[in-house]
Amino acid sequence: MYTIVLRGGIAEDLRKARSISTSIDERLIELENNPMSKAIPTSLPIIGDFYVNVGRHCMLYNIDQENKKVLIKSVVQSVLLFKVLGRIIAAPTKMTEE
Amino acid sequence: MTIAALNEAYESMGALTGTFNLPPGQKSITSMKKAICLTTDEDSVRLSVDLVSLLDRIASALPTTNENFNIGATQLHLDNINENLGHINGFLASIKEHFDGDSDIEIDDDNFINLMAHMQASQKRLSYISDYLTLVLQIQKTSIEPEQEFTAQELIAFLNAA
Repeated sequence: MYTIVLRGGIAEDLRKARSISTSIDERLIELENNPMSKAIPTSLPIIGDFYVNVGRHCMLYNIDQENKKVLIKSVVQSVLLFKVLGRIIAAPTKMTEE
Repeated sequence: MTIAALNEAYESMGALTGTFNLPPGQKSITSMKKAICLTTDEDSVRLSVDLVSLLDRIASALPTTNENFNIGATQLHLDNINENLGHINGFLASIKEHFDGDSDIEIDDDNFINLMAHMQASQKRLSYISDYLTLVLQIQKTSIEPEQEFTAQELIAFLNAA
């Protein structure tokens, strides 16, 4: 069993997200039991090592295996996180001068 | 990219986006002529290509780890990005105002087409960098708040209590 750790402002973000993404409670229980079960690596430690999808939101988190803790770093809208992770930059139709 | 090089890149970006400023105000023959001159000029296309590659360099230098991360400096970069995004948005809106919709003018000039493609590409890059830095800053600012520990049930009860 892991302890869930979060910081002040994130509780409010979780509350807001729960009203839209109702499966957050289920995910919190999964994080407590097995934080790796649905973990997806971000490859960007600056925003959190892993995330899980929760409806229209994603929870970003780190896992402290040694102390059995899950640190929730943020709850963000999925569309924003996927944009950031995908580095979505559409190429221009033409790059050369004529 | 070093901090100095990054700052230089931001300065160059400001100079480039400023090049494309069109005076705001009601559409007139004079303002349309200015817009046509600016957008069909070969030098404008060249500058817009420079802008895209500059933004690619800035995007590739975005922070990915906590190492040497500085909230204040990153906030300045974000402000800079948003200001320049405002310039580009203003430019594209101005062109749309002059040549889209009810306008009888259709510009089929190659320079114009290329310039618009590059400016839209710049807008997408700036928007991406802005979203990225906004998310990073939000998370980094939260990371200095005090921690609270919960079991899942305790946390759910805590969230329900408010």
